[in-house]
Amino acid sequence: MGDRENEIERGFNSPLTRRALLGLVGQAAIVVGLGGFIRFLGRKDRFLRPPGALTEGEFLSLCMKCQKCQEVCPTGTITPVLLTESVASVATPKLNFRLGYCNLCMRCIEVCPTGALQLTKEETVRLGVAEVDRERCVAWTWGGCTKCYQLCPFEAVALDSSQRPIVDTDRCNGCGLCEHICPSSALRSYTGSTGRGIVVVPIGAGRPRES
Amino acid sequence: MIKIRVVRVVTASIVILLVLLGNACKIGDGTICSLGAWGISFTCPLGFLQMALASRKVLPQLWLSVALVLLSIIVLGRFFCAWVCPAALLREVFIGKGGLKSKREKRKGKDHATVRLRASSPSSPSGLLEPSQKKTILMSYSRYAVLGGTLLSALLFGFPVFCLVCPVGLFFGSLFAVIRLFFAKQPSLELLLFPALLGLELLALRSWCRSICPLGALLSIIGSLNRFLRPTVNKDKCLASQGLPGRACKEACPEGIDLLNESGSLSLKDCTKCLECYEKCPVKAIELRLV
Repeated sequence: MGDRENEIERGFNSPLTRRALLGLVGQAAIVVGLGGFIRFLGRKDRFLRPPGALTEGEFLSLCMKCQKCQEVCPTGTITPVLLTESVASVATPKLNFRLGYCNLCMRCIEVCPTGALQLTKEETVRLGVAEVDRERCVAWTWGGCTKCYQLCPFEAVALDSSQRPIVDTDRCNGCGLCEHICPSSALRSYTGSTGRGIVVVPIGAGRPRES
Repeated sequence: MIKIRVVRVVTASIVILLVLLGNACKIGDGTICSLGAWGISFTCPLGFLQMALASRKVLPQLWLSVALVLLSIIVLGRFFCAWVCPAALLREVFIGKGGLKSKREKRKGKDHATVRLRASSPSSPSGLLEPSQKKTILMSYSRYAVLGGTLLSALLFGFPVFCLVCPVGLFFGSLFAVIRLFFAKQPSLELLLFPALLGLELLALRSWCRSICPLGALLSIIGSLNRFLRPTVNKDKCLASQGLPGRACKEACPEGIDLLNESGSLSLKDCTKCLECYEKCPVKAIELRLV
């Protein structure tokens, strides 16, 4: 019995041997490595975020993927980023203008529990900026269509002398109505085209804005 | 008599239904990550810590909802792990009777139990830990290591890393992928990959809950504040206390807690209030004291 007590005193009784400790440190290191790897994979990913979103880095640090904004969006525009689009941003909200457009109701901001989306005024919201795809735009290739010009709520689409749409990047707030209603993919579907003639891109991801 | 296990499965299912209902009605109650609406939510404490470290902010907007979680843990302990977590639900339903323990583990546990009964009477505390006890304790340490790694990773790389592989998130991700498939006609790779990863975590890494889950580890730490509804042994009724064989409570405990010898096993801070010990005790010697 004396031996036993001795062993206890000298700490032989602890399950935390040197080997076990190394294993634990290794496990923690694997988790840290996983984080770094995913961050590396997602370093260039940019998405159209709901209104009031912080800058991409800040947004990712605060979005807990609780899906509240996606649930309340009345136009069904907010959808999760898919695994095929980005591993780092999977399940975070993005705007899918194929499904709808942003009517700036700001309900997503109201329900966001973490402040990843923060209250902004309708006048200062910038979701992205629309760009005309001259290869796909019906007006630029055939002529005749002025849908985006007619429907833009912010008069951010102008027509040039040949009645082709041009985006006024200062007026455009990226609400996505133009992309949503653009008939290009339907009219050109016989070519196998699925793209829209006007698409909203994240600010900074497409052409740099002239200031 | 309805089995406690069935009650647990029903409870966890009700929570999932609440999430789905909120989703269908566009209430915005979110998933379990931050469950609740109209300004009152329960926010995942691990998510909160990760976000605070990742953004290097104190996030006062989340204090109320995290305080609600802390309060619930003080009152009910680590109940989340047994009664709410969808991963636990999946394990109980698919890994089968006895729930959280794999069959092999269970068989091994039985062998150990009989050996121990012969070797030492449970009432006499022997200072030395047996190999099986050491393993149990090491497993619980391993969760804390993963928790530490998770928090460090969030701090270094600026985003809540664990949320990407969290079984709770993967469960709801899979569920929403199915909903998108049927209601929005949008098939996605998530339909395959999320359930596959979830299955890998719960089946291949069978001891996920006991040796990996950092959320469980965090709940254990907070669970040490819990003083209510702790299972205690009535020594007058307990067979083992009278020197008779029989340790049904220890074998039933999915966390590996030995109610008679807490020093040699995990302590009650790890108790998930699953009530298996309460149900399995043949002489009803386990009491749940309110305070």
